[in-house]
Amino acid sequence: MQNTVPLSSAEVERLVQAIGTPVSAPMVMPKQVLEAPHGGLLRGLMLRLHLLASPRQGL
Amino acid sequence: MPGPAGHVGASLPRAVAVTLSLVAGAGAFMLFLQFGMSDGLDAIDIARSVLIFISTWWLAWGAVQGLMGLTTQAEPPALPEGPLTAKVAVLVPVYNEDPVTTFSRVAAMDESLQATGLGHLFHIAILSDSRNEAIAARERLWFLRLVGDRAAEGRIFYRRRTDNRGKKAGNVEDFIQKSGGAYDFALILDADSLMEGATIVEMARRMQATPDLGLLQTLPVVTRAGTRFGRAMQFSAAFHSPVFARGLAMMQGRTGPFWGHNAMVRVHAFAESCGLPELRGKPPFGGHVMSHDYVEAALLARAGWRVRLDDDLAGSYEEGPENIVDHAKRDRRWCQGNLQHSRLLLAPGLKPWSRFVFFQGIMAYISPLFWIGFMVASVLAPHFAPPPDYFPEPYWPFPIFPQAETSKAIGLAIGVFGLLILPKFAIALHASMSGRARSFGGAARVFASVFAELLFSSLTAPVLLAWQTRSVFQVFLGRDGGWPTNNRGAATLSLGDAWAASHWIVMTGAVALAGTWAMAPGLVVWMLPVILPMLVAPLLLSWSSRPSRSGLFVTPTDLAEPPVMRRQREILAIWEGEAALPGAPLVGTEPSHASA
Repeated sequence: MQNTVPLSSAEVERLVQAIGTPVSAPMVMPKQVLEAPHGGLLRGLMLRLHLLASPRQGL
Repeated sequence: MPGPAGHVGASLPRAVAVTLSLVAGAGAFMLFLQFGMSDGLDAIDIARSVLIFISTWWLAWGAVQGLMGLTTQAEPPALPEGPLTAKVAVLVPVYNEDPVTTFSRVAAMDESLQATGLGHLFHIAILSDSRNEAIAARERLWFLRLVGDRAAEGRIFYRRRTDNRGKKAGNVEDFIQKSGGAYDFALILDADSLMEGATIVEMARRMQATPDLGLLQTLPVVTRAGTRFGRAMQFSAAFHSPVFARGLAMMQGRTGPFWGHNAMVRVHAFAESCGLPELRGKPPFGGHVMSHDYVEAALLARAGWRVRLDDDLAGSYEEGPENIVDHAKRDRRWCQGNLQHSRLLLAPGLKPWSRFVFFQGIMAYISPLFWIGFMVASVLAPHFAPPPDYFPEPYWPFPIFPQAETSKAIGLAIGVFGLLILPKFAIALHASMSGRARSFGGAARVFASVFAELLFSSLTAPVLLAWQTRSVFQVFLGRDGGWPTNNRGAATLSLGDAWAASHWIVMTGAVALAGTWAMAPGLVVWMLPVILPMLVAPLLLSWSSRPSRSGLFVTPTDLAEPPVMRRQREILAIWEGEAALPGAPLVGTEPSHASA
């Protein structure tokens, strides 16, 4: 194991990069839909209860 | 792909819990309405009755959960068969933490994992989000020391993000996007988490044996508390929480909880289901999802994965706040996170139970408002009451005095108090009869501890309630609490510190006392249990932050220190000793610390 005392902080950083970087194995993590496109709790509730016209209905 | 999500026997417990708690709430509503009607019914009586209905229902919901936990038994999970072959990443997100302490936990867990003989299947990744350059520099040095001590090159990793987008959830997401493909499962920890290697291996075996299990949550035990506040919280968490968690587990079905740490996820399920978007608008309601764990559990369930709490898994530990101020700081963050979930109540496709979990989280923070509303309305009520009518019958010459209904109000108060204390004493009784009390120092000590904890929590509840209420108002007023670093250092608060943190609570208590005295002097006695602790809040804060020397609040980890805790303590003692030496080299200069 290398003695870090004589190393500069940049050298320590390089050493950590070299032995610390996790293995590369990319994965896709798609963003999920959490909000109705026409958000708002009250608006969403009223839409569900068919008390408001859906934006699609106007098309 | 997992099978369709169902409700494995959860419908009946849910129905029972909802019905019982609603019946309790309705009973309180009727009692209070009759009490209010004694001097003529008015709008404020109805408002108070509704507030007491909501508050009692919420209390009863918690009590029912505890009683359900007492009366049910964990169903043993299917025994895993065959050898463990899955690759597991143990993720340790850190954010401006003391690296000596945090990395000593990593060293102890690594040692414990290697001792299982299956250590080759596990990698540990320290995921730094630290913004403080000095701390980051120490992290790098201590990482080299950790790898050297554990001979862990290629097994323990460290990386620091250049920007901490998405906070902890973004930190984990970043790892999964870059390295997730190399692993079947990921154990997500907190910086203060500590787990036995055997527990981690058992979790991986259960995940491997249950292909539709997306997330497996353990019940972490709070350890190493030293202050009066910390010890009381630790005892409560160790003694009561497993029973309440059992009750919760009965109702969760496939839609269990995720508490953000000490839980294992199936990496590809997590990747495909749990990418969190930024919510529209600014914090506190917009921006990144703050309490991401509940949302991730809901998203896994939405995608058909099972989320399960296995409360039979031991060997899972965490540390808790040591004083009320640190507790309140953490609670401020949780408050904002839970109230933000109001944006997600109607998120498309969520399971009904997931929506209910969000609702529960919101209720946990806004419920004090109902109690405060009830108290304020009660103080104001005499000014709205109609004058007594002693001659309601036009042709009856004798006065008719209103029927005294005080007994109903007293009965209601006893009922509410009962809901608070009954589950805790029932748990103590059950522990005494089942022998569980032995691991807490024996039945006598358990009853004394439960009584002391009740007394302590009754004293501190109004102070915590004040903080919680302020947090709720701050969030409603749009104030973002940010992402402060957890304070895991010195716990003792001087009287000056305590006063600085809580003088506003003292003032609020004084105003409440003066207002009650002026408007409803008859209620002063009823209000004192709430107002008095507020008036002495600085004393309470300071006193409770001091080291505990009591023989009460004993927990199993006090009586028998688990191996991983013992090793972490030993490693930390060595490292801290060396770190304290002036100019001492940190890494790899002494043979005794050469590769293990």
